[in-house]
Amino acid sequence: MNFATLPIPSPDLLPLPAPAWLLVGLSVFTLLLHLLAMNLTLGASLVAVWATWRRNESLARLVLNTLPVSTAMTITSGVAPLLFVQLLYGQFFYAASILMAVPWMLVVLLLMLAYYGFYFNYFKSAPLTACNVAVALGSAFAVLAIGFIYVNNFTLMLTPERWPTLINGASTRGTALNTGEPTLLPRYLHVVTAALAVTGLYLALRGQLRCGAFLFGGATLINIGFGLWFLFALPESIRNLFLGGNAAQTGHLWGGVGLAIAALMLMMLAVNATRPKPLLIAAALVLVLVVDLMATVRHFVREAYLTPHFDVWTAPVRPMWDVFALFAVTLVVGLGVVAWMITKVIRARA
Amino acid sequence: MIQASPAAATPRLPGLTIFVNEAVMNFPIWEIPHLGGGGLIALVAVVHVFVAHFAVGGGFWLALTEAKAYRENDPALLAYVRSYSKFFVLLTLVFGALTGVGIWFTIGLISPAATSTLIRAFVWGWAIEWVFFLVEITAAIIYYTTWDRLDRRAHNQIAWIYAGAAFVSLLVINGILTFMVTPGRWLETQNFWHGWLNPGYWPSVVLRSGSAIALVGLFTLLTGSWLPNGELRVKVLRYAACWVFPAFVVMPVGLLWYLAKLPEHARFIALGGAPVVAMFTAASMGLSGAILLFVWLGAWRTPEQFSTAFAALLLGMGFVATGTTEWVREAVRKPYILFGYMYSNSIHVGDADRVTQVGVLQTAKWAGIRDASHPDAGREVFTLLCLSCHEVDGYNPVRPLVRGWDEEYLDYQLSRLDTLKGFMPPFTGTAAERRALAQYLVSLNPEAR
Repeated sequence: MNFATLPIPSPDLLPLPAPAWLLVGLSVFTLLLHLLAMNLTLGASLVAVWATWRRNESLARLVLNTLPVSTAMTITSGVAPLLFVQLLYGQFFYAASILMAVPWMLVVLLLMLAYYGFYFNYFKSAPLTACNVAVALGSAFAVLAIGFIYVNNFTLMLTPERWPTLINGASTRGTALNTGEPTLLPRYLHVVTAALAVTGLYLALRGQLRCGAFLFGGATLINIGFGLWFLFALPESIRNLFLGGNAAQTGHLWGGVGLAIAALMLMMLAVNATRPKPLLIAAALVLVLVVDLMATVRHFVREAYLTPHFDVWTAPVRPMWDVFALFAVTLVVGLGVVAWMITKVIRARA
Repeated sequence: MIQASPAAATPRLPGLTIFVNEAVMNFPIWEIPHLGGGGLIALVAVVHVFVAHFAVGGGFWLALTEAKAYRENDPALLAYVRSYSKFFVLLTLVFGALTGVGIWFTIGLISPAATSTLIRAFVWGWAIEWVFFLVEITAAIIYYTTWDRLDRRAHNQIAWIYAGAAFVSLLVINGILTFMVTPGRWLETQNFWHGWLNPGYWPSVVLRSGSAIALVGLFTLLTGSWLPNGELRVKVLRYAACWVFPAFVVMPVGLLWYLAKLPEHARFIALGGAPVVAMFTAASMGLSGAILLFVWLGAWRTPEQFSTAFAALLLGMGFVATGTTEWVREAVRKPYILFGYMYSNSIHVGDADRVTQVGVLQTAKWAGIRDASHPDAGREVFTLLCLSCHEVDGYNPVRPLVRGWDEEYLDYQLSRLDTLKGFMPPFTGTAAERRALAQYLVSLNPEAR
């Protein structure tokens, strides 16, 4: 339908509770943690289908034992960036979510099915049967669908120009998807392939060296292609930022690509090494840096899309430093307690 | 089209001066046939609250019962606690955590403006909550996977860490939940602590703690009833009853205290001002009393005859009691979604006058019709102002409510909505919009005209 102006909601009346640099920084950092856990869950759920289907007991055991924990960590780490996106860009996020409310609510249901599927295979996986394959397949499908819905929402929030085409009047049944978006498919494939790469490295670290290295290498090479597709699907003005238009943003993207290739080389060295572990750990550290750079690039893309409508850096701020300090202390103590518990478990095994 | 009027430039909250809002109804409205937004929130929230309270009480239960099994050197009880921990993890870590995320998703879709306010006002509170959530999840996973790996002392310490983190997460979220009903001085100061540690905070902590203990007792009756007949079964059932009894000392204290702290208007609604709400309050208390009686008669006095079906029935009654209590908590907020700050239909209290002057079709960003004389204007006004609480048919349906009312009577009712029906917000729109809405509502019952 036609609106005289784009129906972009006004920012919330209350000011931001901290300066934008802190909130954007926390948003990108917590997204990094979420991406690592999410990549492992998504990748492992796909590997689980293959491993159970081929009755590869040792590989299946590894991924099926990983999935319940990685899913818990994906959900927990996902809460924080979802909180910050609503804080910083709520007017875009809520509007897009409502237009696709039904698929967005389905995320919760699909995740519950996938998660119970992971637990089912965790408890009943020896010997592997067709039932395990079916459950692994169902869970993987659910996780893939969740990723697709996420990419729809997080691109739809960036393109308010498309909102009027998806609604007729003030109310909506909420069944839209953002399928008219040119970056939708490359962005989705880029994320799924990255998930396979991260999972490959995890498998290599956990003793499945050759299989993990193959997955990591193959996915990384293919993902350079998907990444370029994604880059060239972006609107020209935004694409140019990453092709020399903005030095810092260009540096982040191509630095990330370069480091991904460096991680690939470390992995190749590890496959032929007598002591692969140090090389694999180095590759993992480089990969964390790659994901961090890519999460930052993702933020640059978001800001570039929203620039005509909203500038988070000039939004009113009234800091709540006392409560922030309490959060910081709580975080340090909380992470300390988590570390203490994990140390207890590791010591007990030794 | 929609420009900031001079009225919009004046501060609408004392203490803050930066608000120049060009529109007051910002978001499109998700239409859920029959169930309605309110129905969906109620559905997701009630199942979550039920499991979440169990998750808090269950932490203390696991820690104390494991220690009891060690102290009494009772391997059968220990094996039962171990199997309980698996049940506990599958229910709370998956269903409990995801329905919690589900509430967040739901309120963001149904009440985005209020959700945004809760996030802006309390973001560091949510962040603190998140830390405890992280500790809780890690502790729960470690607890149920390390029965054979950790020594007894360390394993029991993990249970205490889980229980502590879960309880503190209740303490944190409780401040934000009670804020919605009793925001206290926050309305003047927008200070985090005034909002979080609001007048309803402590009574609600007492009430929710009681409910957590009661629910873990009821869940223990269920899992205990699955045990084979014998000494352990009797022991567990009586032990479960010991969790239920004290809760029924704590909960009435919390409830009365909470009612005393409610704003007068909300207390009026809960205690008779709105008959349905008063009935639900009574149902919640009646059910709780019945649970207490049946636990005493069944699990305590005749544990040998206590069956799984009976345990399931008690748990079902606990579920309904939790649901009605939460529903009452939601209902007493009316006509607000954030008491004194934002009406149920997402209009800021401070904006209401301007919307009434300029018109809701003019100030709502997503209104598809701007002209009150358009034939479908009444339906659009209904969507914008009423759909947050009323379906035409289905949840809180409006069709039967206006049956037999003619246009004049409807227009009169709408013009004095907040005084005639204390739990409804004032009609915020121009006289022409009110007339259009009245015509639309009359058209819902063509045969009655």
